[in-house]
Amino acid sequence: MSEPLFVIERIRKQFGPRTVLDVGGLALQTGQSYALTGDNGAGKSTLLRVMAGLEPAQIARALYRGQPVDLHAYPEWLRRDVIYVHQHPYLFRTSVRDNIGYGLKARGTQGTMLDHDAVAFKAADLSPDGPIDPDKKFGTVGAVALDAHGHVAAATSTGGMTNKHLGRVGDAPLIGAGCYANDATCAVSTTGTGEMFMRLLAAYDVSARMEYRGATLEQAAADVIMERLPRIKGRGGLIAIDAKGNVALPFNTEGMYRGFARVGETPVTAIYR
Amino acid sequence: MDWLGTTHQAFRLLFTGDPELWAIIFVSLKVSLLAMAIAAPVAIAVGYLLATATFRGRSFLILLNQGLLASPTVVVGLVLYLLLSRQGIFGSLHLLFTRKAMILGQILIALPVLVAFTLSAVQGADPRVQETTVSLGATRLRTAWTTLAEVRFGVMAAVFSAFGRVVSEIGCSLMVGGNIAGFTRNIPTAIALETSKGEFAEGIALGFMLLAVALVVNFSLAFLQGEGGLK
Repeated sequence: MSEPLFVIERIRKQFGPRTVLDVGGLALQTGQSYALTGDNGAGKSTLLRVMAGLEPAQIARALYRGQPVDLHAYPEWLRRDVIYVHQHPYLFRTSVRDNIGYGLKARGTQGTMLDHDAVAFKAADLSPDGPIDPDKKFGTVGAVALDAHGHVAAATSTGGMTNKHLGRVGDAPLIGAGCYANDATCAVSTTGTGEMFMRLLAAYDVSARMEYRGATLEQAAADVIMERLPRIKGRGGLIAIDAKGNVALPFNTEGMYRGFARVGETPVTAIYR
Repeated sequence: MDWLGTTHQAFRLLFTGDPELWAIIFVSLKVSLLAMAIAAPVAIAVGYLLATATFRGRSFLILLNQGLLASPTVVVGLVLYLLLSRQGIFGSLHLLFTRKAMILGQILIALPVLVAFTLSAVQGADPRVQETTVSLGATRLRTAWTTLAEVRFGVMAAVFSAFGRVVSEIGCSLMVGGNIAGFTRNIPTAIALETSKGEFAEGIALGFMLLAVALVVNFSLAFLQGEGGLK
């Protein structure tokens, strides 16, 4: 077994005459999760608090990565590695952003930015141009394919939105909104402001236009992305392939990471228009 | 006594911009605001330390401060007078009967109030505040700042009460300021003088002004702390 991450020998903690904690020794291995169990008042929290340097205790010896440490005068480098999460977490009476950023600021972390700040930073044009404005591209990964038998298929990753609401269901897993395939028409995978794609059933709409109106894939995809979506302020794009092998990659944003490949041809990739 | 007539006259004095009256208001504001600006940061720091640090004599200091809360402003004035008068230890500074002496007196009056309120506000803070800040890697200074921000309503209450006390106190201002017209005459000392002269209109006008000053200062502080501190 490799050298333990955290070793504490002989921890004793007394409140007055009462001994609340008396542990002979403790060794935590790297990459392991531990669960601490015990009766009410057995000293579980006290042990954790001692290890986080929040509670003084008699400790014979403590080693972190093989290095002796004093858990009373908790060294700053150890503070960066160890964090104590209270069973009833406390939120400061300030903004959500400041609550989230508190640890980063307090630890003096450099080069890390909260998503919102990064977006604002970008929007204020304070940084050199990155490949694509993080506010204007979407993180979905999608794929459409046509096989030799004329079957089409579509796949869309569980796309994410920066700082999305807890429990939000996006368009990606909704058949017809983020993903749709029909051998009679086409296969579509979308990316963008999911709620708008859901309202329009955007992926299905491309197929429906081809089926009912006899539109070409090119027309149908462009209608949905360039006409219908912008009307409800929907932003994003889609990739689609029809049963004849035509490919459409429209988007109404600044750019969309995209590419396609046909057997025997050089693959094509692009970001901007 | 003709109350209505006197009050009417008081308002006329105020709104005609009687320069002497405004000079008095200016002295009150300047002295009390400066005293608070000097006393508050020091006292809030001391209150925080008394609430969080453990050292010998801490309980004694807390009790002493609690006792000083009751110190009459005239006694503060008397002590300061003895120290600043020509024969006093600090006589050579020639501070007696100056605005600086008044500011010094008001600082001494404000300190115990500020310390006591800050102390109790910080002691009343959720113990998880300090644990969370420390665990998140905050330095002592950042922890102090965060804790005070958490109990900011209590700290603002300290500032409100202390300002209320110094802007309306008369004993010390009278003794070390000397009620010199246009120089150390502030609203309370002027009211006392005008009343004893029988100039009730002046007294009432100044009384209104004192109230207005206290209200305006408190409202602006409440506005500064956001949500009016009234939530």
